[in-house]
Amino acid sequence: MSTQELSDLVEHRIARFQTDFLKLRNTLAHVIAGQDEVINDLIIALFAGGHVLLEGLPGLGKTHLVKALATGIDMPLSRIQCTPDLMPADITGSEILLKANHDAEVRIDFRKGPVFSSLVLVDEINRTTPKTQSALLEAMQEHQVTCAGISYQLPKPFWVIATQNPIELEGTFPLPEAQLDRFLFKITVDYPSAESLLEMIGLSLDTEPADHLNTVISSARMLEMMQNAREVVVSDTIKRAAVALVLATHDNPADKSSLARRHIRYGASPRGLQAIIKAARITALADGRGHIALEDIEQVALQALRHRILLNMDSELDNIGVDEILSKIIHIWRKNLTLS
Amino acid sequence: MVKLVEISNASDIKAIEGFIRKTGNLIWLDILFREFLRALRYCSGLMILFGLFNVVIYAISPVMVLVTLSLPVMFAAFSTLKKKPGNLDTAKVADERLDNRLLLTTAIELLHSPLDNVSQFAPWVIRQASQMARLRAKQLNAEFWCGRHRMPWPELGSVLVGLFLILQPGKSYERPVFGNSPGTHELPTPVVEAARTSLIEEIRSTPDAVDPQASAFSNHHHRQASSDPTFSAARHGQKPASRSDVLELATGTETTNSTDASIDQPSATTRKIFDHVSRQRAPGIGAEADNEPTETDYQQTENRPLKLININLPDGIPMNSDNGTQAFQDYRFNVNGKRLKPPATADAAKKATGFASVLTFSQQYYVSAYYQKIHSKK
Repeated sequence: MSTQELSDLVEHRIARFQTDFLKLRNTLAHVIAGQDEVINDLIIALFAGGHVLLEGLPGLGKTHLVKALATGIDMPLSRIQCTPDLMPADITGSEILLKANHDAEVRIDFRKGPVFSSLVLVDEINRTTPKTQSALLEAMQEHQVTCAGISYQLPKPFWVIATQNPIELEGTFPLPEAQLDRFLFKITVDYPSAESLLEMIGLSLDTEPADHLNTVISSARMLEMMQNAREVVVSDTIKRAAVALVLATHDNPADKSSLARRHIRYGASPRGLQAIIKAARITALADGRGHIALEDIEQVALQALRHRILLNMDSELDNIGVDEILSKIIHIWRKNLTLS
Repeated sequence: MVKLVEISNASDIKAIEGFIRKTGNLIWLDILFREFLRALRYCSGLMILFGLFNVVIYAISPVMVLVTLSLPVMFAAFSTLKKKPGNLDTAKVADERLDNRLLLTTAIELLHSPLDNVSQFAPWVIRQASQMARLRAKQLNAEFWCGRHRMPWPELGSVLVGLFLILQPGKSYERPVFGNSPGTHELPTPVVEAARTSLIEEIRSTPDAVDPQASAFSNHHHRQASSDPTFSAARHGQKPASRSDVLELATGTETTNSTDASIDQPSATTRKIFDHVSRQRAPGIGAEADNEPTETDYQQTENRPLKLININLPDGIPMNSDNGTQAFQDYRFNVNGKRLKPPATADAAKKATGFASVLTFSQQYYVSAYYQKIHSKK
């Protein structure tokens, strides 16, 4: 295949990706009013093959959104409602004794838990115990579950979309940093605007829009699009810029006036860097480009880094949030890149 | 290792590289304009400063001004050469200016990447970059020159004003060679030599003119000259110094046996020496020792007839040429019954004694006494 033909093929792929991406986004936007940014970020994370942590108050449509998404991409969805008495086996599955009807022989069989699904909705993940939370670690990172020394592969693709309530702290177990690091994005769901609320009344007062939703992208097409995303060109300039951004969240002894030194206890991990690049590839493709630009990194940095940063005591005393500090760091990073 | 540039479409590569080269040249030209505009600003400021200095304070050599002004220009040239952008830097700047979202930068990097690491999207990115380059190449010149026709009139105007001021006659042309500034208290060697030669010629060609009223100076002269090795005539002959003594003092080497006139009285020759020194802007010892402006004194004394002065030297002055300046500085002299004022400041003392390198002790003494007299009359 000549370079000309290859170029034509790539152009066709990118155009198709852009079309499908916009189609899915618009469809979900019709179901969940006033959450366009959340929907956009959720789709980006999904195409990037990452897990998502949705944080927001009850009643903002998080669960509804995930259900609609599963229908839109034609993926099986399983839901785990987390409670303090939920056990790891309730998620991963467990071995049970089976006895055949006409056979006296008893055998042990592994019954798969709800985690064996392409799309797993873990509702209110912070209400369950750390032991149960950690049962998801292997599934999220290795895409497998090990029980009694036997590993069981999870379906491909595999996504975990977890939700948590930021204000109900009593009887909750905050996710450990290691668990948080497994999520590609942490998306904050805010209150919709007045116009969106009005629109919501018309859309979902008596009916459930998600029930009438048709499949927008087939699961096969979904996998193809994810494969396309891996072909996006990442230049050295972009790699260096992303590294600079991640390092900007770390305490730099040379720069005593840095925001990180003043406010951040632990900076972003290397997984954060990978998350930025993975997500930026999707935004580039969604914009009809075959290469990543600085704007793509800027667009996804906050969602990719906000849950990987641990603030120090001073920030908490000053009531300065992660988003505020990260936004400043990103702004400074971009300014320095432009100047250089 | 095969690189993408080797298998890519030649026209695409040509378009991208041509665009980058052209943009790089324009960026370099932009840097050149900026650097030289900055140099022009510095130069205009310096020209104004130099011009004002020339007119108000002290004359400045135009050559020195040119040398000084060449420094910012040289710095600008050096800086421009140093800042020549490379291909990747040019691509980044072009992307920033044209809002290309790093398309050119990525394409340039891709072209020079090994084929193994290149993704499937790379040829498409290069084609996109080449299309963009073809499209923008036509607009590039127009965009670059847009708004650049403005001449730096304020800077050029300042340079012209400064040039005008520098070309004005400097303040120093009305001043003695011995300025008030540190380090200028000694005459330049050519002036000294010219003064000496001229003095010798004048003394040789002028018959003695002895002022009959002179008296006191010679007494002290005889008394102190015994310790001064340069006072050869007075030391050996134990008689009043003559015209030839002055001649000897002036040259430092010539000797004569002529004893036809006494140096006890300020003669016409002596007066000529003083006038000559005065005309030559020779050390304004008396004036400077008094810490007063000298040019006015010279102008005032230029045509004034020399009058008799009676100088009483104190005892015990070591009349040694090696430390004659020290003696002159430290001891007090009486002129016509009035005590000479010592130099007011260390700087003035330095200037006052600086002429020791030019004239011998007795010459210093003559000149000093003369000007001291003038000032005491003022």
